[in-house]
Amino acid sequence: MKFKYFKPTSIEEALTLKSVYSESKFVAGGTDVFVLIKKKVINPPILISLRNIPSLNGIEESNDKIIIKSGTTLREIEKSELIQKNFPALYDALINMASVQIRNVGTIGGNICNASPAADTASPMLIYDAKVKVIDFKLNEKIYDLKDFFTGVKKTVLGENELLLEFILHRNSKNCGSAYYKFMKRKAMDLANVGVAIKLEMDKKKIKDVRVGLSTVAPTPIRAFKTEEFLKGKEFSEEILEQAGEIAKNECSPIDDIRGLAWHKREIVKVYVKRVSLIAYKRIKQ
Amino acid sequence: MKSIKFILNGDEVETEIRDDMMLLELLREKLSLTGTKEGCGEGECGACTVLVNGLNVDSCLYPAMEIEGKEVVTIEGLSENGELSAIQKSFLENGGVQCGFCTPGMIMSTKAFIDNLNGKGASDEDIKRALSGNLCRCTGYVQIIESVKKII
Repeated sequence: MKFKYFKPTSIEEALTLKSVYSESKFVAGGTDVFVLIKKKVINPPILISLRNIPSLNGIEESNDKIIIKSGTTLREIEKSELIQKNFPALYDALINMASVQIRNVGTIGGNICNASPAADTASPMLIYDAKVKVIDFKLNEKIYDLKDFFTGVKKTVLGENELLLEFILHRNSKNCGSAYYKFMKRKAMDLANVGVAIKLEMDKKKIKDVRVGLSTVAPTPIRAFKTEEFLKGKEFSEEILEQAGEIAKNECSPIDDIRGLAWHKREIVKVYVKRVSLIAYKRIKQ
Repeated sequence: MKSIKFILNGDEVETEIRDDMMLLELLREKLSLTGTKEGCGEGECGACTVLVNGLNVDSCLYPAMEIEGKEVVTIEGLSENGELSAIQKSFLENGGVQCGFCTPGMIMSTKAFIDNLNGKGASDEDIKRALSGNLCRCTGYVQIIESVKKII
C-alpha cells in the first residue's frame, strides 16, 4: 500500500485535484476502496478523500423532495426518521447491510458508485425512482435517472472527472407501501445472494402502480419492467403475485458464482417477489 | 510524513504519520497501544474496532489522515483510576472472554452500543445486530451476549 492522500474541503477543490492528477481516485468511506488496495486489485498512487466536504453531507427536505447527499454515511441514513418513514425499503436494506462499523463510515454515494450488482442500497433506490445529480470539473451539473446510471458490472455513466453530488427522491403517496428483502447464507456481514425491492401503489384492491428492483441477478441492479407491466392495473392477490414471480424469474439473468447457482437465484426471485410484495402491501394498511 | 493532532483516550497527541497509514497501524506500531488487534485487515472481523468521535469503526480501514482533530478511544482508554470499566468486568464475570483476541473489539462495539441506548432497554436481537461486525471463534457468542445483557 503506497498512496498520497488529499483532503479537499470543497467540491471545486476535489474536482480540480482530480483533473490535475490523472491517476487519482476519489474515496469516500473507503470500506471498499481500501480493501481493494490491500488485496492489490487496484493501486491508485493518489487518493482524494471526499470526507471533509460539508456540502456532500446530510439529508435535506424541500417540499415534496428529499435529498440525500452522496457522502452521507449509511448509518446516518438508517438513523434518519425521515428515511424510515418515507423509504422503508431503503431502511430494510441498510439495517441488514455489512456491520455497524462499516455503516458508520461507508457512504451511500460510495455504495452506488462502486456499482456492484449486489449493492444493497441500489434496488431500494431504484423502486423510489431516485435521480442522481452529477457534477463535472467545469462545474456543469447533470441529472440521471438511477436506472440509467449503471452500465455494467462495477461500471457507471460517471466520467473520469465527475463526482456524484446527491440523490433526489420524492415522497410517496399515502397508498404506497414498500419493502426490501435479501436472501443471505448468514444473518450478518453477508452480501445479498438475491435482493428484491418492491413498491406498490394501490387504488383500493387494484395495483395502480408498481416498481420491482432486483439485486445480484444481473450485471447491474435492475428494474424488472416486464414484471411491473404485468402487475399494473391487476387486482391484488396471491395468485397474481405468483404469476409475477414467474415473470421476474425469467426476466433476470443471474450467473453461477460464489454466491450461488443461477437456477437457485431465479427460484429465490420468484418466491421473494411474492413475499416482499405481501410485506409492502401490509405496510400500506398500517 | 505529516504531523497530526488528535485526542487519544482523553489526551492530546501529536504524531507523525504517512499518507497511506491506517489508524490500526498508527495505534499499534507507532503509539504502542497493542490492545487493539488486527484480525482480517479487511473490515470483516471487527477485532480492530475503536471509537472515533463515539462511533465504532474498523481501524484497519480508517485512514490515520482522517483522525486529525478527532477523538479516538481504544480498549486502553476504558479503565478509570486503575479500575476496569463495567463492560470489561461484565465480560470477565460472565465468561465473555476465552482466548481474548476478539475481546477488545467486542467491548468497543458494546461501548458504542450502550452509549447510544441512552438508558433504553435492548433485546437479544438488538445486541446481536450491534455486535454482528465482531467475530468470535471461541465462545460461541452466548456468553458474550450474556455479558452485554447484564449491564444494560
